Amino acid sequence: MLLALFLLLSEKLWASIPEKPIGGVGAGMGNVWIVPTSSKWGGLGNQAALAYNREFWVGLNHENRFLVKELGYSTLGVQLPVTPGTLGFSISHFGYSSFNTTQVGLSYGMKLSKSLAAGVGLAYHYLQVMGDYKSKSAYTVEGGIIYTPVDKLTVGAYFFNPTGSSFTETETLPPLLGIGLAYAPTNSLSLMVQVDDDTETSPSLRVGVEYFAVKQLAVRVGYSTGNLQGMTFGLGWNIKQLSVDFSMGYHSVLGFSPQLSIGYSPVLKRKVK
Amino acid sequence: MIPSRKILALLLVVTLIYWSQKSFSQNTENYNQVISEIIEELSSQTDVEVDYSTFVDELNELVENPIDLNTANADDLSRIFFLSTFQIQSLLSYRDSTGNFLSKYELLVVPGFDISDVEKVWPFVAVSQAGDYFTLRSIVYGRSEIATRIKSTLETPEGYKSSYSGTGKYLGSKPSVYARYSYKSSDKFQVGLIAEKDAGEPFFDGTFNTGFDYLSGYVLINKLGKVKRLIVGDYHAEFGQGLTFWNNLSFGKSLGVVSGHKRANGLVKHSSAYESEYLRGVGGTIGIGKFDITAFGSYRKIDAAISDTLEDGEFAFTSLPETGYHRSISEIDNRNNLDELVAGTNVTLNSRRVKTSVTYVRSKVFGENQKSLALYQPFPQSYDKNVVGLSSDAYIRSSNIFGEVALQLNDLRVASLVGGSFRLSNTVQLGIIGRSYNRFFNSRYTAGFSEGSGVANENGIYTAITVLPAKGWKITGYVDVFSFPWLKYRVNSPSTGRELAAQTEYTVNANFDITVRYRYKQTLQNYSESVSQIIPVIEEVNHRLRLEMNYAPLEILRLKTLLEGVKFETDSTKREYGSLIAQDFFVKFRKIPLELSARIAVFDTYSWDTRIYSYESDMLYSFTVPAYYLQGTRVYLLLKYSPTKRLDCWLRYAQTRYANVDGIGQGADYIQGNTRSEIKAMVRVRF
Repeated sequence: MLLALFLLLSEKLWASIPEKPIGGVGAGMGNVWIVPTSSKWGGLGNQAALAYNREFWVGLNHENRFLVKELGYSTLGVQLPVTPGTLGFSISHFGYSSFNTTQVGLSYGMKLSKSLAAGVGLAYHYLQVMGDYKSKSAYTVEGGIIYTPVDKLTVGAYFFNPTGSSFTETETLPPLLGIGLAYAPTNSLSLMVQVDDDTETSPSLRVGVEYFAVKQLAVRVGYSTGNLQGMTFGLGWNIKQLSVDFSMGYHSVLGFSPQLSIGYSPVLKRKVK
Repeated sequence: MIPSRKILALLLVVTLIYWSQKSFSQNTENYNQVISEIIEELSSQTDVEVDYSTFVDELNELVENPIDLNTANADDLSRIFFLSTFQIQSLLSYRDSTGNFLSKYELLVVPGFDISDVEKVWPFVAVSQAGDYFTLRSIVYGRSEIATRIKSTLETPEGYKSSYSGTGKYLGSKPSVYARYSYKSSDKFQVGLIAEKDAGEPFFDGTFNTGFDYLSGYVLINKLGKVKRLIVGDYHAEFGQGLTFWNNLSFGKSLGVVSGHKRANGLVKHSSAYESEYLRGVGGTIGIGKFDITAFGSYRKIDAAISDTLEDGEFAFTSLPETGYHRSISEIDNRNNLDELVAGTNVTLNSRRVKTSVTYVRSKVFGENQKSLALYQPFPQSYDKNVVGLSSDAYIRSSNIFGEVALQLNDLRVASLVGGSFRLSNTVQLGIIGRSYNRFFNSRYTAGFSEGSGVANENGIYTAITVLPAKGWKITGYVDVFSFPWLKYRVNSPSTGRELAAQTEYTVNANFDITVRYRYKQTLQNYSESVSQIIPVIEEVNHRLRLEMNYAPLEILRLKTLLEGVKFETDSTKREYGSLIAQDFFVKFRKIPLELSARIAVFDTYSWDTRIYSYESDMLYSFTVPAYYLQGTRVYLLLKYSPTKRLDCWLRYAQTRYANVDGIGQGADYIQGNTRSEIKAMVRVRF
């Protein structure tokens, strides 16, 4: 545990502090988030994905990185369809009493045409470190687009913090740019590829597969070459309005990182168009 | 009566035949090219030069006795080793649902077979109504084959010169000689004999009793009543996924979902010139109902460097060389010093979709191990092993699930493997293999899926995917993450690593295809340049990018262009590059029975770390995958002339020319000058 904390605080893994709640679906597929998956968690990753959700939705996500108690990351997300797009709200908390960050995000996504959607988000980050350090805060902008050129193919692009806001000169929120591709040869199968790069680490390639063995049960597997590097596995269970997604990432040195997501869309009488 | 589905299928087939007539009619005449393409595909996936004679033999046998699509079971079909389990099962279910095959062309409508698969399978299958027969007549009227090959380097290495005063002076002559005889009557009865003298080995001068250093043979009977197979002489045995016992060739990690899955063939004849890892004795398989019961025993001499004779008369050894070379005094001194016993049994329960088997093997080398211990070996390895294993292979709803657990009875160490391949849609297949091998498992004859050498000291997960996104396109890739929980050779600490590979093949049309492949491998290694007492372990990263183009501009001419680049980096700021450009030519003359292959290659690599392996065309029973390294050029020319149907002659000349060197090789192999040339000739007669 101490080793993991030490590594976390060392420079190289600083970027491993989650900037983004990916959710159990993408986390099972090598931590992809740019192209939306079968779930509504996509709206927290790439704001353009909000455009595809036309139901009120609330989700809870918890990740425990490397099974270290102090590296817990919890998120509450809400999505509210309006006309013409969908609004998103999220609040996340990472860390423990001596070192923690909190993020509050507001986002909006809508369809620009039949095959193109776009979204933007604004987030407030708050960093608290015990001792002689002062708490710091920062605002970031993010956004993305999702384009479906043909039926089986979806392309997405995403940017984070292009203005380069940071807590201090050394505690940064590195700008990131990424593109993703999803190929779905059948209704029950999706293949995901994503490349993203921030200004502090080398580019990450992520690949993932999602397969619905039966209608309600998804099996996922993936691999990521960077943040977080390693194999990932996931299971998803959709029953009526409820979705439960579990994922497990494996880093060959640091070990397992489980993640559990629960999402719920209550049946409302008035459907928003 | 023919069901209407069948008629529809046949109509479809007729259209397809019309469309693809050309390629099929060519292949039926020239199965040799199909075989060499299959072997090339196999060996281009790996980086080691191995003797694939057994596979070539097996394929040649299938050409002469093709598998009957209407009577074959899963075991028969799995002899066509490049078929996936999914394809075999798909073929069987197709036959179950629509009745017997009326023509080979019908394969085109079996799910899982595309045109290129059918082209590949074509020479090895048949559709007939004839029954099984085995008569005295078929023994008498079998076919024989005699092949003789002679090979020599043109330059003379130092070890052959009378002036040579270093260690390992060669006692024999420079040429190597290889001869084989085989006799087959259908696939039921076979006899084979192989003799070989390696370069530098004494030849008919009294050093070896038989004249040849290496002499090997077998008598094989297949499917005679309840006896499924009986082998007397030299053979191999392979069971399960290779964790308990497998002493035949096997394929490691390669692109393609099914590559990690092994289909064991039980007892297999030894028909290559590889002088280690074979069994000598008797083995047989009997089929009783759903059970196949195999028993085998082997007792033979193996090479050993003897250090001492113990009080009880037993020898103590310091190494067990497996090269098969007996060229110098010390190599000849090591020859056939110890006895090795291998005996085992296997019981397999076969049902249509599940195959379960139990294997027990005892292996013992009669000598005491006094090998000096490396840092990674905390205690001497035992050469008296009892291993028992349980393996299973199941096919459920277009998924193939397999696994094996092996237990060393002497010390209760376990190795296990579980895997599956899944057909997620018509265009996507996924394979996963997980393995966990105890750090000191180390049984003597194993071939389980692994990154390291042998079934020991390894945990890992391998995931592979194949996607056929559009007509003509094929994308394959894999990710393997592994860890070695204990130290190993040249790694003085527990270590981890990963390997990624991706390949895109695009077949533009029948005359042009292009393949791009990228491999990435990261491992930990001792820092070889370390000057301190405690050697640090550093990261090594290898990138390999390869482009291959095949095109046939004329009917008689086929061309292949190869570009490969390598980048090698370590933590210690070392960074090296390497590249290879090669152009191959294949000409098949129409009027004279002559075939010609040639290559011109230029290579430029910084050192051995950035070496590039590349497959070269060669004659029957010869396999060349040289490592190209340093700077230079390489050319080869291969001619095959077949004046009659029964006679084939081959001639091959190859030369590597290095830039900026005065000598090549080391010790007895040192050649003065900057060229190494080799000439090789073979004659084969069939009657």
